[in-house]
Parts: sequence; C-alpha cells; structure tokens
Amino acid sequence: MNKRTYLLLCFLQIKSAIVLLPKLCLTICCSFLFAYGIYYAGREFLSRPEEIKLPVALVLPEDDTYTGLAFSFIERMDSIRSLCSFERTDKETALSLLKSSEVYAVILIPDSFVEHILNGTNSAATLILPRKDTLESILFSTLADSGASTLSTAQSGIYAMEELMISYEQWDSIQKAEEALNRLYLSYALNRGRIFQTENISATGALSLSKYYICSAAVLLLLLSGMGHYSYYSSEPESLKLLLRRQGISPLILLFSKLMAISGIYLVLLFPILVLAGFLPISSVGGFFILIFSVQSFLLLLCSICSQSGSYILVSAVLSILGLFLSGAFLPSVFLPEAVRQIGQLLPTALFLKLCRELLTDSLSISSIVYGIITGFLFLSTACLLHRCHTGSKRKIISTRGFKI
Amino acid sequence: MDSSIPPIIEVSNVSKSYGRKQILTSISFQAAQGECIGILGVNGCGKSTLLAILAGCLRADGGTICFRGNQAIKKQDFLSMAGYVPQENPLFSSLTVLDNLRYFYASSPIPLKHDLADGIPYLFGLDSCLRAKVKHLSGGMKRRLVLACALACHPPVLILDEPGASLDFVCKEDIRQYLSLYRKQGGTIVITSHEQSEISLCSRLFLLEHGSLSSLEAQTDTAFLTERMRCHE
Repeated sequence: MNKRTYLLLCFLQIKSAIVLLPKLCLTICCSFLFAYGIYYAGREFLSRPEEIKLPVALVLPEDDTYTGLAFSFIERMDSIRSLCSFERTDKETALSLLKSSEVYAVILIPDSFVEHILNGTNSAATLILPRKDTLESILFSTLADSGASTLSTAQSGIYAMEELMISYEQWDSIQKAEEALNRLYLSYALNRGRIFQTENISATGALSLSKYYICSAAVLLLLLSGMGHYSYYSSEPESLKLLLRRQGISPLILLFSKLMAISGIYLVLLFPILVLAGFLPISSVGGFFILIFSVQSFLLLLCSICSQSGSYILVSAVLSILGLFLSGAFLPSVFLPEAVRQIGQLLPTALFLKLCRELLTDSLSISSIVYGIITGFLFLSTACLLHRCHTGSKRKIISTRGFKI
Repeated sequence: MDSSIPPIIEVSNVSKSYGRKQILTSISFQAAQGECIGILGVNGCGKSTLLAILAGCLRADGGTICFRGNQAIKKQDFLSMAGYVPQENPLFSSLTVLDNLRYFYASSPIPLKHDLADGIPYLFGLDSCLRAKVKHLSGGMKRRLVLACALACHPPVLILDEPGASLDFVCKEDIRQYLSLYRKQGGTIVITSHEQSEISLCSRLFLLEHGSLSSLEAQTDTAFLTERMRCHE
C-alpha cells in the first residue's frame, strides 16, 4: 500500500465527511435544544429548595410569649429548617389549608405549653394529618413520632432520677439534678448532627440530576445524529472497493479511515462548544474522541447490517432509544427490574453512558478508555466481516444464469 | 504474433471457484502489444471475474498471469501494467472530478497537472468540469472519468468490462474512437462487451462458456454470436 495513496484516501474521507456537515449541524442543534431543555428543567427543579420542604401549619396559643419564643428557636434550627417550613395561623385557617393540601400537617399547641413541660404537667400538642395518606404526611408523622419518643425518653429519665432522689431522701437536690439532666438531654436533642454522619443517597449515583440527564441527552444526541450517516458509510460502490483493494486498501482500512474522519468532524464541531460551555475540560479531548469513535463504530455496524437507508434509520433509532432506556439513561438503573438492569449493563449504550459520565465528572479511568477502544475495533471488525458476507452473497446472485425465454 | 517478443499479457491455466461452484477452469490465452482481445459470453458466465483476476483485484485459485514475461505476483505488478475499467463506475460519488483524478493520479509517474493540460483528462473534456461532483455528472461523463482514472498510470494494458454499457451512441462512439487510438499507440486491450461497435475493434475473440475459453472467428456479427451462445446453454 502506497503511503501517499493512503493519506490521500484519508483526506478524501474527511472531505466526504464534511459534505455531511449541514445535516449533522441540524440534528445536533435539535438534539442540543432538547438536551438544554432537560438541563434547564433539572436546574430549575433543584434551585427551588422550598419545593422539597414539608409545609406545616402551626397554631400557637395567643399571648403566650414563652411558647412563641420556644417555637421561634425551634423553627430556626437547621435540622428542622431543612425538612419543614412553618406557617403560623389560626385553627380555622390551618384546617382549611390542610383540606386544600397547601400544608401537610397542622400542629395545635395548647395554652401554657412550655410552662407545663417545665412543671411536669405535660399537656399534649395535637397533630392533625390529612385523611388520605400521602408520602409527605407519612414522612411528617414518622418525624413527629420520632421526636415524641425522644421527649418521652427524656421524660422517663427525669422521672427515674426524681424517684431515685426521693428514695434516697435527697429532696433538695431534685431541682439541681433536673436542670442538669434537662441540659444534657437538650444538648443531645439540639446537637444531634454531631453524632450523625450525613450520607447522600441518590438514584443517580455521584452525579447530580442535571448532569445525569445531560449525559443521557449527550449520548442520545451522538446516536441520533448518526441517522443520516448511511450514505456516508455506504457511498463506495463495490467496483471502487475492488479497485481500492487492488491498491492494497482493504475494506477494513477504508472503513477505519471513514470512522476516523467522521469522528474528527464531530470532535472539531462539538468539543469547543462543550469546553466553552464549561461541561468538559480541555484535557478530556482524548476521552471524548474515544466516546465518539465507539458510538460511530456502533452506527457503522448497524449500517452494515441494514441494506437500505430507511431500515438503517429505523433500526438505529429504535436500538438507540431502547438501549439507552435499558442502560438507565432515562430512568436510573436502580428503578429498573434486576433482570433488565443486568441486560442493560451488557449493551453498548451502557459503555457510552459510562464514558460520558466519567468525562463530565473528570474521572475518566484507563479501563474505560481501553474498553472503549476495544469495543470500537470490535464493531469495526464485525462490520467488515458482515461486508464480506454481503459481497459473497451478491456474488452468488450475479453468477446465476439469466432466465430462459 | 512474433514468438521472439514475449506477449504483453499471458494467462496460463487460471481457475477460480466460489465455494463449490467452479467459475473458471484452466483459462489460457495470450495478447501481443497492440492487440485487442474480446471475451464474450452470456450473463453470469464469469467474464467480469476473469477480468478482475487479470486486473489483480481478485486472486485466482490457480494459474499464472505474466506481463511482458514477468509473473505478476504483487498488487504493484498489476497496478503498473494494467488499467482496469469495471462495469460499475468505481468513483467517489460525493467528491469532485478533480478529487477523483487526484486520487488515481497519486501513484502515476506523470503529474495530474500535466495531463490536465494535454493528456487524457483534457482529451475527454474533464478539465471543464473539475469542480463538479461526480453524482451530478451524466453517465457518459462518468464513464470518461473512469477511463481517465484507469489510464492515470499510463499502463500498457487496458482491461475493460463492458465500457459502453448504458451509454448513448455519441458516448459509445467517443469511447470506441479512443480505444482505437490507444491501440494504434501500442496499447493492448482486453475487453468484454455485448456491443457490435466494440466487438468490431477486436483482433481476436474468445467465448467463455461453462468456465472454459474457446476461440471465435474475428469480426463475428452479433446474430451469429447469439445463435452460438444459445446452442451452448
């Protein structure tokens, strides 16, 4: 094979790929708008924290300064504030808000609530929940039960201490002991964060929701933008392939040149945009090229399987969307049945998503790079093999004699 | 044919099969410089396969092919000695005429620029449509372009598979005239055709049937050939 001939062939493949640019730009623009829509929705969803809090109506006794101050303190606690938002109102308004589902619970605080706690009378607060169970009401009642059990534990401790003091005739020490025990229990209740570690458990793993869907949209964009590539991958007639083989350029080399050319075009088109938008660092250029290469080789394989442009478009669209769904691109894998999850992990789309996610989080691993390259060459080789089979079967048709009149 | 001068192309016992189907069996013939060899036969008898083997595009199962007494083994041997025009136009359809010429002239000893000025591309009128994309060319212009690409390396042998198929009379006549000129300039042609005008160019005719080659009289008309082929079906 003449090196000059091969280099010229590569140059001509790049020219052929450039011819695809208008079609490519159109599909990329449409897919980008779709991806941006997903990203915008995800960002809006995450940036409105009050949406994820439980609104609760609070009915406090009038002219009870101590109770008002106590609840003001409680409302400002970080652990409470992260879960609930309180709306102070009267009883009638609170119940109507509960009926209209504007609040998830109503707390009715009786008169002299704090005084009764301090003097041991312990008048109960009333918690009113909606008739129909919702996730939020179940969550709130669980939290309230947990808080009540904590209080009852503290109460039991104080009563046990009092009985002990009485049995040892230490009546003078009861007040002091109560205060010390109260301070101890309050320190446990108010500073619970010290003894707990925060762990974020997310269905999307280490990725935020917006990044998760950005990855899914990016891979979908790469796959769907290849729907118009049939003419590019199948443009050479058999006679030209014969002549190229005559010059030492096998179908494998020809297809490899085409893959490299189209991957280069994608890289030049998309990478600067992604870097400027802040999604990818400049150092990820190699990893991004491998992602594009593996996606394009998958599309090349589909071209080799399909004999017509129409069937290729259908097959590539269906397989791409189905593959992405099974690989957990639209719904996180944890929500899918176990068998589906196992199948999804074996699909090429799982590799594409993995590469994309690692690129986005700047955590691209050597194993992913190697796996991407191997998969790309595997698809390329299979495409060449299928091409040989197609050529062989065509040859059989040509060598059959014509009909007799 | 002068026996002291080695034939420009010598085919000896070439055979080819696809799986269990034997296409060619012990094909042998020779062609001297300036000769035009015509290979005729019904559709699907193996003519294109034979020509592809002569051009080095396909490998024969057995036998040898020699150019000027030297056995052609490597692809380079075929490339330097034979230009090949297959039945289907072997062109990069999404690229321009100039790009296609550039590619095939990459291994030519003569620069493209030179031939565009007064060589075969100029002769065929391709210099006037260099920027046109191949897919926008007419059938006749595509065929001219294919011929120009085949002659890029100025080979002494030209192998043509039905060069005038699907062309109008004007184009056919142009190609016939060029082939006649090529032959006068010392070029050797091996051609398959179903056209009377192209058959009339041939100094010798062979009939390929059931995988074997048999000699025919030259200047044979198509009516006789049709009858002959029908007898052997």
